[in-house]
Amino acid sequence: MRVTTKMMADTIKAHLARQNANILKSEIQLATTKKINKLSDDPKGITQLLGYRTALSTLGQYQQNITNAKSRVEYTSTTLEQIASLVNDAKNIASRGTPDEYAIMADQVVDIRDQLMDLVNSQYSGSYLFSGNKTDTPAFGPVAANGDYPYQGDAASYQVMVGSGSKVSIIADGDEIFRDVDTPIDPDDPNDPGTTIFQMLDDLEEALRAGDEAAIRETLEGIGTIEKQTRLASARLSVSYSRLDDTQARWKTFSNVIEEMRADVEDADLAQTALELQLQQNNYNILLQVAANVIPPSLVDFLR
Amino acid sequence: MASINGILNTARTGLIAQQRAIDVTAVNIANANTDGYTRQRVSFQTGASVYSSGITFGTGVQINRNVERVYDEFLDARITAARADAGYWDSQLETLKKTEMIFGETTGYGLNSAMTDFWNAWQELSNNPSGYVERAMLLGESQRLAETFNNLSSGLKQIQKDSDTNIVHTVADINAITAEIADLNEKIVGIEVSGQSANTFRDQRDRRLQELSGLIGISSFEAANGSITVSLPNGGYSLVEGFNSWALQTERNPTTEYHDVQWVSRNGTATTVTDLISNGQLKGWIDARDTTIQGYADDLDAMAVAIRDAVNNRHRTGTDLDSGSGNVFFSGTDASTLAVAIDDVRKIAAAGPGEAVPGGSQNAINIANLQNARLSIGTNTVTANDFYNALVNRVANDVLGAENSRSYQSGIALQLSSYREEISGVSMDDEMIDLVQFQNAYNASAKMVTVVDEMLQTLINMV
Repeated sequence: MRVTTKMMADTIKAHLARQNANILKSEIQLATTKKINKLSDDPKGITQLLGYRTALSTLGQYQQNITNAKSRVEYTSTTLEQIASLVNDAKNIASRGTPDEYAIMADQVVDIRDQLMDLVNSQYSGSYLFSGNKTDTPAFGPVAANGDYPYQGDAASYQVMVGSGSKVSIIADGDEIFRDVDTPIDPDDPNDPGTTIFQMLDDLEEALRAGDEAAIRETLEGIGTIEKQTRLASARLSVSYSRLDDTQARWKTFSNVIEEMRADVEDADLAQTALELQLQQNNYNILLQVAANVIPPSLVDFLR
Repeated sequence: MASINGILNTARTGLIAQQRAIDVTAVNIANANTDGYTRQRVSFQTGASVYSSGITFGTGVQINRNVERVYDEFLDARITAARADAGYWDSQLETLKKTEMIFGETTGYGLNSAMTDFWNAWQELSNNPSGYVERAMLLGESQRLAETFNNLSSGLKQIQKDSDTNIVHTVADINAITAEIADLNEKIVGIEVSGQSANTFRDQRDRRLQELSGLIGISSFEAANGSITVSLPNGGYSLVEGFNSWALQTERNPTTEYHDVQWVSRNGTATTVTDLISNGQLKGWIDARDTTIQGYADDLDAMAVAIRDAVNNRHRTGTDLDSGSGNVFFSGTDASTLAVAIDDVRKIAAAGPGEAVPGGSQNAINIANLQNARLSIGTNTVTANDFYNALVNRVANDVLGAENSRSYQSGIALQLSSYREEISGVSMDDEMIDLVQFQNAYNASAKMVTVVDEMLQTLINMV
């Protein structure tokens, strides 16, 4: 085989270029701490990576939805507890009062009713908690001519998206909690909606002021039902809460797993890359040494 | 008769021949690093013998008028073919690398994140359907999604335009080279017809032919008179024949808005040969423009349309803050024109059909769920994410494939040029040995003259 100096030079140039490209790649990986710096670095990896990123971002959003919903549930729970305790106070007044206290108790009942009205119509970040989807309207309006406090919301519950196609519903129907359908306003009306806690308290106040002990006792059952319904709503909320909590914990674990897989695909192993860079630089130096030894001498150097 | 003058003459032929040989060696050494140079060699020949008085006398040395090129014709044909492949992958790789950059997925700010953020914004809206902030955020994310589609689409379009410009330039280069080859044909035939060697012109023509092959796939053969004929392998359109060359031209196609490549006959009729180009850079640009990048752009368009339709269909069933039913959410006909059709945040239909506002969030949830819904995109039924990931994967694989093909081709090119160097390259050692050899022979011939001179002196002194 004939070997010319140009062949040697070309071969060494080609190898130097290749070695330089390798060094550059390692340098970029070290600088960005990422294994994938262009799509073509790892076509399979980039596809996995996009999948992981989408999953992480979506799971992050689910967790944010859940965090948001949990704080709503906590707020609703606290409100319901206060309501239950006020209703309980009203029940105690109705069951234990003595005629000489009736006047003061009537005033207390009015206070309780006003406080209840405030609580039932309370807002969470600008939305009424117990109006269903009509979050811009207070749940119960002022007293009407027939003594009813009309419900102004609807029967919808608050929906939280906790996963793909999976939702948790949080009770927001005030009518369901604060109205006793078995205590009619007008027993003769088949479409009678039942009595709200507010009307019951109005009735109680009236009975107290009139000193009508039988009428006072009569309100007891309805108020008791409302208290039960309030406690039931609380219980449903805590079920919702634990479902939210469980889902969030699951997403968190899942996120961690995916994050690990993402790092595996995307993040450069710095120690290993640094080692590789060292090796590549050594190879490069060796190549330069070879080039220095091989290229210059020819017969010219030995002819005098 | 072996006269003393005869010896002087023999010495003279030796001097001339060795001097010529040293001259050729000098040319070889001077061109040791010239690309495409083929080393030359003088061939010596014994001078015709003279028969006189029953004795044969030599008359010295002759050199062939034709200085030999040390050259392997078949190897050069292979180099020419390899240049065509290398040219093709060069232009493919150049366009693909640009494409890879505009997708920008490695930084995490590509279409993938724009889509995820868009779906997340719908979820965020479902958390607080009446919230002005959530609504404004959703509009912002929707605009970002539309703009990302627009930018990707115009980026791809720009790459196609760049390729188109390159096609025009490449055709101009091709024409310059074919004209030069026709010119060289004429020179070579002119010189060689007189028995001289046209080595320099042949070297030049070989190099031009290889350059041409890098630009466009060609087939070529050499005629007996030394002229070379070059034509397109498909359709047999001639580019060079004898001393004539045919120019290609580019003509803007009004429907595609890109340039077609045309071959113009002697009488001026233009034939479109875009699809007949078989290899070389020109084919690389054409494929990138019409197939590779167009394929990505088509996919992107299909995806934009699928997302537009899916979101619009659901949005129309929803209820906006003013209790009206939802309007068109996205407008536009493809990825380049996709835009958000809503500018009033109250018109976002977050509530489901028949759901009360402002608390209803069913429609926002429905639209957010589209993220995992299988849409009909082009001929596929896949989620938008999967479709896009497959597209990115295709781009990445195409780039990697082009890179591999390119480095494979340059490996082959290096190998072939190594082979060529092995045969045709100038080895300094060889040339130095030749030089020493020729110089010694020259010195010896000169010594011969001195000897003959001394012989003549002796003879004269005798008288």
